[in-house]
Amino acid sequence: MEIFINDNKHEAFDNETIIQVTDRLNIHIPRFCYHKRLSIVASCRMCLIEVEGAKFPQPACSTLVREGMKIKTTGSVTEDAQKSTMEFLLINHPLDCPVCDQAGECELQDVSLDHGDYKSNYNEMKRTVIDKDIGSLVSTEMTRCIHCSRCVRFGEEVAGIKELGMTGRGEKTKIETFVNQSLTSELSGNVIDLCPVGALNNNLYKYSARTWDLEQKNSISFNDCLGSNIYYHIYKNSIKRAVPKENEQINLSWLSDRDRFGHEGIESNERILLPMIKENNKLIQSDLNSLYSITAEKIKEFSPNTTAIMSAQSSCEEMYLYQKILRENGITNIDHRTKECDFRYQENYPVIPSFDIKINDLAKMDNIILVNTNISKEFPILSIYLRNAIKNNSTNVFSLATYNYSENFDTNINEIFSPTDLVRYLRDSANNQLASIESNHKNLIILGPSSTHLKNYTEILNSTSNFAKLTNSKLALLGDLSNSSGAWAMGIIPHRLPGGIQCDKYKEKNYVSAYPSNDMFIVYNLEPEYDFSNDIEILDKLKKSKYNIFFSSYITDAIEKYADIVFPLAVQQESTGTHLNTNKQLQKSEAVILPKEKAKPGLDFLHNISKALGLDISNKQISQDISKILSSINITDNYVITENLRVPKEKDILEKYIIRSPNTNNPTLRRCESLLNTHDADNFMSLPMDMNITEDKKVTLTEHSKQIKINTNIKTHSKPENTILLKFSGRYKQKLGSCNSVIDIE
Amino acid sequence: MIKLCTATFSLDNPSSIETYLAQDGYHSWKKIIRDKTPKSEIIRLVKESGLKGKGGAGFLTGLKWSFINSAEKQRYLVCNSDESEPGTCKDRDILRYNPHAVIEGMLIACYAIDASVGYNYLRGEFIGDQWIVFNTAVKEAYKNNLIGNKVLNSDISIDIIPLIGAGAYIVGEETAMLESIEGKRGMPRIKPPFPAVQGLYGKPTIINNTETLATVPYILKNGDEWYKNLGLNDSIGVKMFCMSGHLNRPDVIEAPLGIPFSELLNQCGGILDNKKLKAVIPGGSSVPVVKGKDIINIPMDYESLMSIGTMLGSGGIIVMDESTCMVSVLERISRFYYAESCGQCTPCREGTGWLYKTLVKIKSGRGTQSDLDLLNRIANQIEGHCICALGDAAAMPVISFLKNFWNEFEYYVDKKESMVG
Repeated sequence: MEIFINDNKHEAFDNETIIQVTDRLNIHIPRFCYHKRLSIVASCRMCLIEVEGAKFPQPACSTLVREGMKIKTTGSVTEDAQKSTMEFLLINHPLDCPVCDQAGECELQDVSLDHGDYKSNYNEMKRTVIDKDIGSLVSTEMTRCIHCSRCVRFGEEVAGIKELGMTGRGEKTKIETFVNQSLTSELSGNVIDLCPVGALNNNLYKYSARTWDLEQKNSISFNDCLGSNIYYHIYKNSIKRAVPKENEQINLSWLSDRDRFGHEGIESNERILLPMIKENNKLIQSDLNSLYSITAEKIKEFSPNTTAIMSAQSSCEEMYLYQKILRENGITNIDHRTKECDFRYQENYPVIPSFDIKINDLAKMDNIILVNTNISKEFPILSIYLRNAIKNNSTNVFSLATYNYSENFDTNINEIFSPTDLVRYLRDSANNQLASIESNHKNLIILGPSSTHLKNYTEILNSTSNFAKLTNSKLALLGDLSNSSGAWAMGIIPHRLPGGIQCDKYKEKNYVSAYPSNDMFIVYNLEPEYDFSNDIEILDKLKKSKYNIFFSSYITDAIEKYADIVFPLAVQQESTGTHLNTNKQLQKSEAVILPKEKAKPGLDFLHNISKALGLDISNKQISQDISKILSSINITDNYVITENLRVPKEKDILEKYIIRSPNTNNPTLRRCESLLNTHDADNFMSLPMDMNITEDKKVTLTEHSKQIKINTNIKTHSKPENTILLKFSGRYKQKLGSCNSVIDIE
Repeated sequence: MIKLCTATFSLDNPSSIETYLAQDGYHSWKKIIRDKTPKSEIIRLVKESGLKGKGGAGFLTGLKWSFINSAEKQRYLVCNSDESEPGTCKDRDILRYNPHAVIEGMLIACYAIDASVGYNYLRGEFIGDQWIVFNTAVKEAYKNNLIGNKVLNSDISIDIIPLIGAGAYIVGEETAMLESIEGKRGMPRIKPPFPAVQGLYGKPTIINNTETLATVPYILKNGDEWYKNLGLNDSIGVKMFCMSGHLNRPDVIEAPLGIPFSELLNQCGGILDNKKLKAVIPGGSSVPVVKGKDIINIPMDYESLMSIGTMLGSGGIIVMDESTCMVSVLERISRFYYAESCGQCTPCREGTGWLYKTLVKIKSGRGTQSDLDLLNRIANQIEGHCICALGDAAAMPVISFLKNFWNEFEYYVDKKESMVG
């Protein structure tokens, strides 16, 4: 249809509001409550504009366009209405912009400049509102609130948990949480971006810089496999804050709290900033050149009896060069799956484990089955898509889990099993609730990283794949870090070369049990205490090994004790590289800050080591190789069907298993104090119940005849049946033991 | 004297079903059930009777019913008994003394718009009296099979559910009432969509005032022509006038529309202590005030009051004698709207407070001439800029008080004291 804006003819569509048309045409209309991804409330009245034929100015955000409609975004009617709204908004708003953190990026300030008056006629007392403590991530200055209710609507409509609401009436209306609770949503940080004024602030950023001094740089998230797009705001080579960069295929306009606040750890005093070598049982400063030659020497000396493990947070370039150096020198025991303990599935695993469908296509699914996946905590961004699917497509969601996960969407079925019962349930799909899933529906099964941590992952994978085949379902395999998919494609696994080519020299079962008398460990961006399914065993092996080379950004007790040399690894934000996300999109992340002191990006170290080994390969060559590898991979389905599996016995003993918090899944996150102070940083351990454990008892784990006292009380839990649950709050320094440990109760 | 809504008021045990039945109550409802009167016929009858909504806006009831979105199967009726407008006290008496007329009206309306459920939303302050009476009445009607499953052994099933508010004036606004019934914070919705298209729980909903619905059974019983001719001169029908203020006998009077104001005054025994009439707010505190001499000979109907710059509104007539300080009255009215603004949209949330604070300032003797201009300006900035009518309701008294009694306000800011002592 045709409409007239300021006497110019424009094209508009049915069911469009005026503001949608003007936004598309880049015609400015001021607004506060309107946000393109939230519902329309038309409450701020800032977008009032003149509509011909209407007695009073109309809100552009809620007024639908009509054929031949004549509107004016300028002119006295519009300007008077906007000026008057502006005057009302400012009477109770503090006019102390110089001390407000939002100054410079404040929507109220900007709109006031364009549409407000230069002086106020208001001479009465201003309203003051007491600030609220709503948790460690979002700080408040509620006197500045202009009641646009974007934060309230965000909670209801996007995050799925209504945590902020309005109380009181009229001028005394306040935005607050229910009886002083703190925010628990994994997406809570988004209210900071949504808040047009300085009422809801980023607690980390607050008062640390002025917005106009900040430099904005592109990056991606390293904390999960979705690869959300981020803008980092930098001041004096330090990341001050992270805000979302819009990406319609991934994170829309949002960011998970993990991605937003996950840079705090970079400033930790546990950073390793110098190259170090062990002398007289102590790590002392060394120079890089000697470390390069020693590393080259040791690789030659201990090949092939070396285990090389690498974090899935590393870039494709680092991975490719790492495995190339090692494989060319005869070392094949390379792996990234340190949190896993069951590797029997690996021969049949897809070359690139991926989400299998585009994230946007989640909204088209009829049934979604979550197998031991806590979407709202592990993949908060995915939970937004899932909620939309449920809302707009009436998608059925089935959650089959080993722990009572809380989700921010409604699940049709929410079953909690022990890991063995989970397999049984999947095998018995014809006779249980899964029977309602038909093969002519669009079905998706999501297998998250928590399932890979289980002792019977192969069986789970097998029965899930069989079920998926039977019901013609897509199978999504989600990794836990930014380059989990890339690690498989780049050959950071013992049995495959880059591109999924079978490795001839491979004969070991997996990296842990490979060498009973392992000579050397090369550990790349992993922390022995926290990144392994069996921390006690790995510590034991490090102790027994003849030489240990660490690439690490942070120091831990184990590194201090067992490392012979340590390379001061720059964090991902200080390095440049590409990461392959779960949708097989290769995204480049530039270094947004320079590495601190003597720290260097891993790729620099690897280049120098390769030179010391007589292998010279340029960055350009690496990029070419990577794109060649990725384009050569034949994409197949994700079904993983393995032969010769354990058949669970009738009375199989329940395993002990660990439910890891996604908020502690990599070294930098483990050092983000504000994230550790949220509920989501709790780790849990599930134990079999048949030992008559009661509450209020202390637990002791015995492992390899060593005892570790766990300082936690038992919290009984009704599901899965016959288990108890141990909770490890907040602190990452808690040892979790392995899945094989013996448990004693004091 | 005509008695519709007030038919049972002076009888013994007025709220009981026996009293109502003895007055030939539920006659229309039983007839509809018996004759299976077509729904369109009822709507046509109500439309042609010229019955207007008696809550304030004066919209044609039958026309409103005909707007119901017939594409949706589930529909609702809501009876608005959240009577909170200062000066208005008619619905409280109808609910207390003639609840069955409301129930019958709701049943007829439910039938006409094909709603399976009718909610009656009572204001929170009614909990001590009207709430109990109305609930009892509903139970009686259920017992007599006038409501519920298979009404009077027909295939019609209608439920009437009484609800009680929590004390917010704004919930009297129809869409805020829907929010409140849904269990949310009572805040008006943006229109369109109108409730007749998308209302309670997203389904088509008709919202009518208590008095309107209580009138419906009498119209069905006696016919549209009868109701039309009840009014005097060109006016249509009757209205309940809530006479309060400086009167010898304040009362709720049911009278034909078009009755001269002087006649209403006489029925209340004239002005208290034989003082002179100074000003009248003829339709609840939110309508513009008029000078006594301007209204005294005016017939009380929608059009005539419009011609003197005010409105019939809810029929809450506040009479003020010569001893009234208009500054104090306006300050008190402003305080009400300041306290009752829901806080959703900016002009009302911020503007009502500004109006009140400025009036407090004037009242305490700190006001200046420029504050009077400021009041006018704020009120004009609120009017027409809000989501619902509360903003207008707060602005209209200010504008009209200043217009009609400017000299008195001027006197106050000059002399720091009231003109009337």
